[in-house]
Amino acid sequence: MQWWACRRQDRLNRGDVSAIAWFLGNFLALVSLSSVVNLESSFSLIPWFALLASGSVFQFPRLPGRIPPWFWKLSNVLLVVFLVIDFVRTEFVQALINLNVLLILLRSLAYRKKWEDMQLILLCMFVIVISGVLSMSLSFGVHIVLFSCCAMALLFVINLRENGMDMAVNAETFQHFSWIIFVQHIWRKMNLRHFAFGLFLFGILISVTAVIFVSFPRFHMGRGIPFLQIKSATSYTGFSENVKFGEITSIKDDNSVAMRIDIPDVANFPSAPYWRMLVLDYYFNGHFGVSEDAKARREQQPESNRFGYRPLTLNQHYPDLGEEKWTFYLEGGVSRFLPTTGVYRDILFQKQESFFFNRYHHTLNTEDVSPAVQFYQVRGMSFADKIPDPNITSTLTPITKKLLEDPDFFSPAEYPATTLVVPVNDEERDYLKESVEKIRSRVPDNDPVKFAYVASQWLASEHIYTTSLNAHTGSGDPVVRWIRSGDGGHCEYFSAALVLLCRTAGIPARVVTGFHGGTWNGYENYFMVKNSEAHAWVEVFDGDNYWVRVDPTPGGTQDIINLNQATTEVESFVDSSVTAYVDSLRILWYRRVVNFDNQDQIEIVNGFSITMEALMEDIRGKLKAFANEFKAMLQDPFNKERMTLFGVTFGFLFLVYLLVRILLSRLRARAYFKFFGTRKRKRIVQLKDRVLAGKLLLRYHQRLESSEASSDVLQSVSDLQIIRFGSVNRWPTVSPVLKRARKLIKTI
Amino acid sequence: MSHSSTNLSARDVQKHAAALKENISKVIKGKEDVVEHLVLCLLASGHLLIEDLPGVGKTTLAYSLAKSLDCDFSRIQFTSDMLPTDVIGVNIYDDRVREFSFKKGPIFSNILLADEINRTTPKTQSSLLEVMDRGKVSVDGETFAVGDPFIVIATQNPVDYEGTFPLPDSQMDRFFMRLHMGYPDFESEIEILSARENSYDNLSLETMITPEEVKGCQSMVKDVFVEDTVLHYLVKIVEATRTETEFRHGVSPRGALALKAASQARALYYGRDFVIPEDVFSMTLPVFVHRLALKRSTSDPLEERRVVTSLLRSICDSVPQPI
Repeated sequence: MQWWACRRQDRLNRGDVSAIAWFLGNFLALVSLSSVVNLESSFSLIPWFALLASGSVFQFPRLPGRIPPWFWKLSNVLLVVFLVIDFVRTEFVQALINLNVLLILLRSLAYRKKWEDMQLILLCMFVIVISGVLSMSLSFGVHIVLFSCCAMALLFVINLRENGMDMAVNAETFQHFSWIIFVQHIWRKMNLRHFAFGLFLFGILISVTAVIFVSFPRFHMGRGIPFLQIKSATSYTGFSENVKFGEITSIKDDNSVAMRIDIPDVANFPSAPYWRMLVLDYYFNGHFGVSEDAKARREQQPESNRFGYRPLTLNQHYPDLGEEKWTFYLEGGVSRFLPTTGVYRDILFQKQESFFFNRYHHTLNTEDVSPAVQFYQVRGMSFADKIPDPNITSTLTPITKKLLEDPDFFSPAEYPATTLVVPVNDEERDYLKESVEKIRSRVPDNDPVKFAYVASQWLASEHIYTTSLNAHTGSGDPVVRWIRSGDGGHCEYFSAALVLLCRTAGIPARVVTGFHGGTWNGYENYFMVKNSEAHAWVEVFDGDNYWVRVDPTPGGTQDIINLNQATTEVESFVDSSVTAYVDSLRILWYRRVVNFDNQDQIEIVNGFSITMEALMEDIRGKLKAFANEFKAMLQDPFNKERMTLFGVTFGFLFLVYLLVRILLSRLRARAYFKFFGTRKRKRIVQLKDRVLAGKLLLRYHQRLESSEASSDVLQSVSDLQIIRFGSVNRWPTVSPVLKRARKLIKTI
Repeated sequence: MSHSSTNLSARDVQKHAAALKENISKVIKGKEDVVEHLVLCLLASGHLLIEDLPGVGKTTLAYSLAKSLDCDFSRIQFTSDMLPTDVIGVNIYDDRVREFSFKKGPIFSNILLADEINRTTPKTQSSLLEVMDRGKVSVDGETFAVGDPFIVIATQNPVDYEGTFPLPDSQMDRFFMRLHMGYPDFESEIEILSARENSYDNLSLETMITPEEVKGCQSMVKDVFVEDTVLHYLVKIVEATRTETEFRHGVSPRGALALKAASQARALYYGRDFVIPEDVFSMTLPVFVHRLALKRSTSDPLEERRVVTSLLRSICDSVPQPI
């Protein structure tokens, strides 16, 4: 049975406090280590090992007591040796993080002294901030919040220890340790008021941080701190510059989100847009790639362009591109080619970026694969299926003619010509020609795009779409082999086949890889594209300055969907699963925290002032109305209607008040009943008096400690004692005693 | 002092107790707390074990109590060759009336001073068991009541002394309190030394209180009110001794009863007819310290007592008092 008074005086003892401090420190270590693990970079196994070791020590706090003392001496030497090697071997940032991880591990393996606790806090802070800056992921937000909670609590506890009780944990503290008993023990002694106070402090911290965050001026550091960069692991296969036929399969099983897009207007948004990333113009024996020539022609942008770029070619051909902003959040490690529709007015980066623009392919790539999320904003984007390439018509036409006359003619592998080369042997070429003839018979005029459409239909009639593939082995060109086999295939197969057919027919064609489709996240209103939505399709040259998109894969559609209209189609298109909800938290983080810039600041301030103005206006209006009402009442004070209303309202309020009173006293009474299992009302009244007297005694006790008590006070104390502890039969009249005591306490 | 046992009030008991204490303090100088505990023990009708080195005034204390109460007093000097019959008495065949007649031993009195109780064998020590519990003696199937009030004041030397038999736990548990005299302080010792006479027989003490009044006070103690939360507090302390891992065993319910009686006695001693937590708190140590033993064996019994005392103190500090 818990008596309320006992609860209040129960306090944590020294051992508890030091154990709590130790656990808090180790929890900090766990948080910071997990943030390093979360970096997902090729950092070796050290953070994993550290996390495991630190976690097991957290679970079994007896372990550090069993570490022999020579370990510590040895570890210092080993640490120095390891670091020297590490700094020579790897990048600066990696070595720095490794150093920190090892130091944190060593601290968390020991029973720490006070200064070691302080060290641990600093180390953890460093690690969390560094990994946060590197990854900029949502988990950084979680880590930093956990960190600030625990660090505050730890500092508080350390400070407690400072005040007169210096004790460190040691092996004896955890001799008979069990988590269940420890938690119960702490829970029993926990002072809820202190806990609430801690929460209050934390709330203040958060709000101050928020104010600073919103009001602090933004500046771009970007690559201003050059060593704060790490190289990511390689990008996904399929989005690199050289793709082997049949390689894309693996990515189809990856259901994680590859990019998120904030779209300006939900109306007239294509349900399955094509996000171009990479154009593969070169083909040889099952390998598609960007030809060396095309690579050489892409332009590295000058320093002045590093925050954004406006491709001039597009403005010429699409003069009516709008000003709407599309914000892309490309996940780290996907590719260094940035997905867009290929047609846009300009592109802006969040930080200074070193990038290349290939104006023949209309693709844009950064220097390295970004390890963290890559943000860029595209303005005036169009979903047209034509990409302009104005300068190649003159080059292409003569080559096409020549090639048709002499199929074995190989031009030097220069860019536009690479889109025409079919490097197969004669027998295969004959087969291809045969097929082309079959297709051509169904095309009325000589239009290249129509040919491509019909060829697609022909391929779809011969092959089914499937992602489970048979392994094709054999000699000769793998694409031709596939066309002949009649087996099923996926987008890559269809595209490759179409490219070869078109090229055989003398139509320049190239493979484009990227994403196709995506789902709408209704929680935060943005567009999600998953890795499994990676796709490959074909662009054919229409002989007149444009490359036209043709998707030979069966089921490839492009419908305009209006998200404002609730159709069944929209519903299937909107993702409202739990994973989508979790994902929406990330976009919130990117939008509101990471990408928070001057403009957002201005918007927030504006929004605030507008809301405030509206509020003030509202209040003013209400006050005026009230004043008018009041005036009317003064003019006619005894209006029957008003009086009734007044009476009814007053009566109702009074009734509510009474009800609440009764309910509260019932509840309180029930609490007492519960304690003593009795149902005598008289007893409860007595208990209340006892409680009151006890409280007054406590106050006396607190105040009398230092001063002399007068005889009046002594009398009052002994009366209170009778009420609190004495038999009811001997009680003096209660209320005057309490009254007198209250009065006397004030005088002390 | 003419009150009869029926209409005593708490104030009267306080007066009696204070007078008694003052009287004894005339002889036992500078040991206020020991004297207070002695008085409490009398009020709670418990038996007292005084333990210390020879010559610090154990026997004097017992004598002074006996002299202050106008009661029958007998003293047994325990030795190793003593038999239970030497304590209780013996049936002797009377040739004249041709039947056994019981010859009462020194135990038939009000105050029994069992001097150096640990010098005798366990057999003889155990002869005190029944009388300490019930105030009665059974000999050959016949029961005899001893004096009323009845209090045993036993003295003993520390157990590690040569030629002693440590009291068994069952015997220990029957003692209400165990007290230490300790050395007197400087001033008190000067006072002792400057006195002309220092033998027991010349103690100049008045009789302060009659056996009737003692009985009245003792029955008052049983009526002292113990409020629920205070009782909870008491039981929590008792429970804490049972869960403390260092102790071989916790305090028995008899011990808990003793603590309650001691707290009630203390309340009366301070003129209250109800117990406050402070009573329980301050009586825990003297009532419990001899009832507990350490799990790990110590070579030095004095060291063991010190550890037990400090553990008990920490228990008292850790159990929260009701407000």
